[in-house]
Amino acid sequence: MRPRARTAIGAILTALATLGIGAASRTPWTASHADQALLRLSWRAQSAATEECRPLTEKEKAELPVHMRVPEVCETREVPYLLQVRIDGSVVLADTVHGAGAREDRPIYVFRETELAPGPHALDVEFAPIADARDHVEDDEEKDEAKAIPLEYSETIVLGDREVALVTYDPERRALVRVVGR
Amino acid sequence: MKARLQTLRHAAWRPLAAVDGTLNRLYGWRFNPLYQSGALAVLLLAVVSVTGLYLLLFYRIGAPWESVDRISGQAWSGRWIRGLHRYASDAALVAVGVHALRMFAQGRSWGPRALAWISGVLLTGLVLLCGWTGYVMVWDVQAQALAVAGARMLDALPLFGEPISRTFVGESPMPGQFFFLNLFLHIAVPVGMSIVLWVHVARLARPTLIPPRGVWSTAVLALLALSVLWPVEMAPRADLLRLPGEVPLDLFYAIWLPVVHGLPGWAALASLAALSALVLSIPLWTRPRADRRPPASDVDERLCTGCVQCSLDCPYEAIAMVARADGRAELLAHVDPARCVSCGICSGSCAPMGVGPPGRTGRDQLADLRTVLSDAPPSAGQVVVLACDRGLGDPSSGWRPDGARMHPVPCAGNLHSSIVEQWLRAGAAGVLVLACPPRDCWNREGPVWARERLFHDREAELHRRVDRRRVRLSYASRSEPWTGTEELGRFRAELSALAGEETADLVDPIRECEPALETVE
Repeated sequence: MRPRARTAIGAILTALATLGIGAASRTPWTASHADQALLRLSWRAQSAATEECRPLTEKEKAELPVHMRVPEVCETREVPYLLQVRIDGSVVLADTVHGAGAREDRPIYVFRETELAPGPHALDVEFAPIADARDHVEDDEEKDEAKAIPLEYSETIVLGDREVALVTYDPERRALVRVVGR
Repeated sequence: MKARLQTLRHAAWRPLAAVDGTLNRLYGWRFNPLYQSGALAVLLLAVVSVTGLYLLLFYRIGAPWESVDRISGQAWSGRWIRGLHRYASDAALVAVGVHALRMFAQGRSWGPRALAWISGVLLTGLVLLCGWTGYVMVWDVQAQALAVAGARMLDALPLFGEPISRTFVGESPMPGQFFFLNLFLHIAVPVGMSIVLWVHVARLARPTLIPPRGVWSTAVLALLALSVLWPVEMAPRADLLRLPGEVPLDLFYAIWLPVVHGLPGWAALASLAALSALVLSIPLWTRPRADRRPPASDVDERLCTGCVQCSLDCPYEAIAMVARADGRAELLAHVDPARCVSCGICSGSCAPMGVGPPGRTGRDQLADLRTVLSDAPPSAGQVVVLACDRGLGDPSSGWRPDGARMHPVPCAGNLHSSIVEQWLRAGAAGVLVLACPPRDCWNREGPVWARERLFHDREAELHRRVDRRRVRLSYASRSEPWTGTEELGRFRAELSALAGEETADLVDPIRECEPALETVE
């Protein structure tokens, strides 16, 4: 191969490689199609904690260092909730939501996504406590604080192409609301 | 698994060697970009850092998309600087990929090189992390897809009380803290990369961090031209209350997005973890069986004169000079087996032939040659080709030097100069040493030291009595048989011009060395 031909081919190859980098850095990808939409449920639940206490046995006390021998031990748990979602009359989601953390003593978070077709949908969301924390509370004032409020959202929503319907909790209204795009 | 990876390694090496040969023909071995992949990656990351400093001046964490849009609107500066920042980071990842593939295919990933492999994988991870944070900073639809997919994967880890994905639900505008964190990582990660890069090259005596001017200037100019002629467009702004539709995806950094798109977070995370574990464990899988591993160099203390040449020549800083225990005043070469890759370059550097891997020291080479010569001495006027057995000396390369005598050697840097002299002494008309191209030497510096020893009096130099016109050192990769044939033809033509001249009165080095060797034995 002649040197001039080599140089020309080398230059063309360099140009092609460079163009290849340019093309690969903006490859079109359809992340979602126009006939897709999404229902997104996301909130931090107003929950209530149950606390179950029991006295330590003599044997348990004996196993503890002197300064840790408390009269009773208590276990705190967030009240679990049942999350139920009906779309156009059909139940698409029915989940028990527990408190976060290994001991389920952290606040309850909801984050669920369900694909929907664009268009109108009758949406019903129920988020209700499974147990009543007040059963475990003796003090009347504490009973009010321990009350776990059930939440509901019923609306016909109309979703556009690729639109996300976000249902979240509004702490001021103490209700589930839909956030509409800005 | 081990056998499969070895098969994959060999399968990867053949096409890579073929591409090497083609690029050597087009650009010459000095400017073959594949030989400069590691240095190119460093250079391109330097370009990314410099252009990033400019972009930093105009980036606003309170209005990420708008500020990048403004930068892209600066026709005389920001637009092409942003393009160069983006394209250079893409090209850097390509260079990293080529570099890793070369090291894997050439089997340079285990034993003392495992540290470089593992730190290289870590560096690649940091480059990717840096790229992802950079893309998220723009906060366009690609950033949205990356952030949501990344958060989903992180949520699969049992570490966070509240799902990270809740950050991206669209309940409220993205907080400035999020972009500040991204910006911080985008700047802090490269600082960490420089530390890991130091570890990456820590076992090399003379790491090459800058490619030749011809390579780096071509790379930078080509990317600059691309930035000017095909600037990076702004993708639509991220909107968390809309699913991203058409995303202009950067395949280099986000090729995994379409792959994990339909997978649950835990499956994507598990796939990533499995892939990372596989890549990190390659030193284990590519390591030969214990009985097939080449042994580390050994020092014959009686022959070592403490000249320090082997320590200077070792590409891996595996040889240190230590005080002797036998009362002699000189220093003694000491090989650290944990660093020695058994390249044998020290064998070629030792004039008294007292160091080298067992079976490949200068003395071993002379002894082997004696056997070869006693069995079949070269015919009168025959040219002898001493070819690197990872290059054209490998029988599977298919190259046969027409009419010449082929004698493969493990590495041109392993070859002791006395061997060249001895071939001439035995009647060869000339000796052609065919080394791998210097930037493609599996032992880093073999061809460089071979040239210095044969022609520039570097220890252990070719003796002055040898007619240098009868010795030639050329470079050819295993997929360049045409180069071997051309070099042999040129050498023959040069030798034919010497046909009337008598060779110098050579002294037989074996005969000269014999009394000394016998004393040692």
